[in-house]
Amino acid sequence: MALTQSQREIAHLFRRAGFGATRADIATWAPQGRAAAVKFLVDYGTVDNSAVEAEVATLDVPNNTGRMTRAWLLRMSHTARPLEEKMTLFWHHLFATELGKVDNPLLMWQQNGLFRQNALPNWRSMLYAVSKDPAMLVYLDNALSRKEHPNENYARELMELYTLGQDVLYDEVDVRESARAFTGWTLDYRNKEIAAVIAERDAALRVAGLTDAQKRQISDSYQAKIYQVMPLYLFQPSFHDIGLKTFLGKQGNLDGSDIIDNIAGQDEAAGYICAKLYNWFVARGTVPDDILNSLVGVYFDTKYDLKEVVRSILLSDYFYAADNYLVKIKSPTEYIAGLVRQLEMKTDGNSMVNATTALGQTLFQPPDPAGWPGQKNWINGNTIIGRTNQATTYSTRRPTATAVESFDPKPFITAANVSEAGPIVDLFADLLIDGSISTPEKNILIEYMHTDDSGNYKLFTLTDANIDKKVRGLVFLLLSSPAYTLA
Amino acid sequence: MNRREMLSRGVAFVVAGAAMPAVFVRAVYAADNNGSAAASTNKNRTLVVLQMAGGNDGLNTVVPYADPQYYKFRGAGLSIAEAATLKLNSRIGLHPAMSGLKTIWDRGQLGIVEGVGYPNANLSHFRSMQIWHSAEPAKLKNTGWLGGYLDATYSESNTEWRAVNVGSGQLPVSLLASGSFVPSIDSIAGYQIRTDANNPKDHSNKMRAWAAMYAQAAAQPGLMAFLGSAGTDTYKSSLDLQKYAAGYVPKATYPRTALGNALKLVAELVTSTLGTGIAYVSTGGFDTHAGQPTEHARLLGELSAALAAFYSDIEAQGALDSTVLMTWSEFGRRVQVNGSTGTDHGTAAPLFVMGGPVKGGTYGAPASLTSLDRDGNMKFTTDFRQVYATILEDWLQADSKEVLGSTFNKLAFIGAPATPSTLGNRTFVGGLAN
Repeated sequence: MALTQSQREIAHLFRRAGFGATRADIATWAPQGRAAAVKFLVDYGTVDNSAVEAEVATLDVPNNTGRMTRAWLLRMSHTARPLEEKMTLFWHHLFATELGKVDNPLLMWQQNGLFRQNALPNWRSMLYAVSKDPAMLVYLDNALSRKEHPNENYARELMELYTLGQDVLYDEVDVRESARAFTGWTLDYRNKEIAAVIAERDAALRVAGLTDAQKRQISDSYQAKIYQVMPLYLFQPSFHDIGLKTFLGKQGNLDGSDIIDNIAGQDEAAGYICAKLYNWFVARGTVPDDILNSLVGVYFDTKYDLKEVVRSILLSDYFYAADNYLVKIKSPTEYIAGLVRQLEMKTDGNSMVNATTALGQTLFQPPDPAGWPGQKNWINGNTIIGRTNQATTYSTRRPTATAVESFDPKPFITAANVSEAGPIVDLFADLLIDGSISTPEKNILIEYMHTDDSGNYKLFTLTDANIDKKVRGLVFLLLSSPAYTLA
Repeated sequence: MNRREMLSRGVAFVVAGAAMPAVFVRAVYAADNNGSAAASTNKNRTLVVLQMAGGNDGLNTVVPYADPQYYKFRGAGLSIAEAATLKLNSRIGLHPAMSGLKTIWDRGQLGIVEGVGYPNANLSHFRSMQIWHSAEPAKLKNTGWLGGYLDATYSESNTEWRAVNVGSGQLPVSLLASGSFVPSIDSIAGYQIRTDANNPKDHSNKMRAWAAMYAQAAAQPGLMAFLGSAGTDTYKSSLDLQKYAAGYVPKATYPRTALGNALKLVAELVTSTLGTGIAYVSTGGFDTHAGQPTEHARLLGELSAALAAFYSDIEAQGALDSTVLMTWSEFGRRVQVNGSTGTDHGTAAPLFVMGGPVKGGTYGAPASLTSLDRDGNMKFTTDFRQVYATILEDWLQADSKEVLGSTFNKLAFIGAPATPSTLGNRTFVGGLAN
């Protein structure tokens, strides 16, 4: 048995636009077809997601990095709005911001909310929002940028990483000029708590006889404290350079908004974000010209509405083409949150935090501002062993009275009403890898089902002991298979 | 369309070999190298490469305390006072947090190559890293200089552990090779497959099926082949690791930092009988745009402490004379302090070479602080590929032109070659049966 064409399309769609199709997703959407499923995924505003909101609300998230990561992974595993969560993850990959530098979980969680709130945004509005996002202002130092000494970090990455690509349209002069334009986009240190910390610092600095080194140390130590309290965005005119600037050929008393407006209207910027979305949903690498042109057309026709760009991608024929089927390597987040979702596991989300880290991805802690390079970079000796060992862990989470996390294969077998090795292999291969296995591969799994502890042939029979050993073993093999690593 | 995307897409196995099982790829490489005297390899020699990601501030690492320009540009907020530096000579001193490295300097086994960079410096972290990794400033290249060395010196009898990346992250581009598998590892205990603990007698059944699935995949096209051969090689390398890497006891106290742990694992691997000749470690955080003084002192302190522990350990293990370690960072930082008590992206910077075979001292020439480029950055004096060429030729005994594509003037930091008597009682696994 293998999936029908429409079942396979739904499985593919939910893998790319979500975290894998469950049994219910296939049953609901395969009969209605891809257009209806895309509408459900994209126009998610009316989909009730209160169950997952309630689940996350119990976690008391904001003060704790681990709980924050856990809450997000739980959302991915349990959300009723898969695309909303998949786009939230996309924004974290694109606007990769490191908690280690921001040093304030509150700001990171607030940024995560911003990404979710604007999961399918207008691109120009999104750039305004991110340029004023406190975590970003701290992360790429724009909060500290002053007209006397503009800090180039944000201005450079805005163009290189977020909107244009390295050295596309701009040069070092544009970097310097836009850094001047963004001076004054900072954080509100008038916030009462911050004001108190600053007053304390200034008092400490006024002590007579301090050396420069001591003063420096005092300043640095208070800087960390300032970051511990929640600042808000502020435009600070006294920091802002009001002089004449030239950016991408336009001259004037430019500020950050002018920079964003200029960028968002460029063909290259349209091509860049459309290609990023194509790479995320369809395939890595160069986007074929005709496809890119059509997406750029949607971008300008809708005045930069990325929701329509995404809709256009998910409805296209190329999205479902054989060339783009199973050509992406799942990130650790997609792999772990996906298996928990597809196996309908009971979980408090806790294990997923360490599991994703063990496989090379710690959410809120990308390696650098460019984010995770992804695809083949996810795969090395460490991570192949890691994925295999996680497959062991999750496939053997046995339900007990006290287990906070469990996987029970029985309901799957009962619902499908199967008892022999072949149909059981089909059941789980259909769920996890679209039943896309060749006869020799399937024979490997069937042979495994019929092998006893001494390595000899023994006919598989449906007993509780065999479900616990062999069916869990089968799920382990499927989860650790090369095919399940692909999306 | 997307240039950076292309840059960051590492390709561990080239397209030409992608559809073939790894064993066939290897055979092709071995045949290519038969009868070629161009490259040779000496398995007794070990190279450790330590990447300092983010762009390390060279001026505050090796401080030119005698140059008044340094104090003018850096000001009171960021400069390091002459009295605070750990003086190396009448011109330069180490950052005060680096007392461990100063000890190695005093023993004459720390080399400092000054003014290292390349023409038309790129100030993007990502592109500049790619340039250092691939040793190719002029165009994009998806394999690395160490990968090139591995390919050039490949022989059928090589162990899969001849090169290793230590860390939980991705394989660095430096190690990406056309035809050589390079394992990545963050602990020896973690590098083995576990199956259902409740059914240990089913373990070999599961692993037989697992290995068969990966072998099947290796014969399919595209990513399935990539995963299939990577999985097959990984499984074999994990079995070898458990077999050959037993018995190491550290003979130094490593700092309890990520870098300390990583270098301890490097010591364990290079002193084992796995035959590891290249080990790669990466540490990050050097992108000090703001609040640099405290942060940079912490980073350099951790670096120095971990290196000092590694040095003592391999010395006690009898491997000091067979080990050379080099550091690198994608660029130095702007000469002028910025408004956030930090520094923006710059160009030339010094790097360290360390180990028994290293002749201590300074190499290359310091970059001038009076003749800066139009962006206020230093002009490099020493091409980083001169460092690579020196290591390839004088340490790894390979043909640097074959690996780097051109000839670069070598530096003189490698001293007398290691002699067998100083190598300790190391025997090597050599050829591993398939």
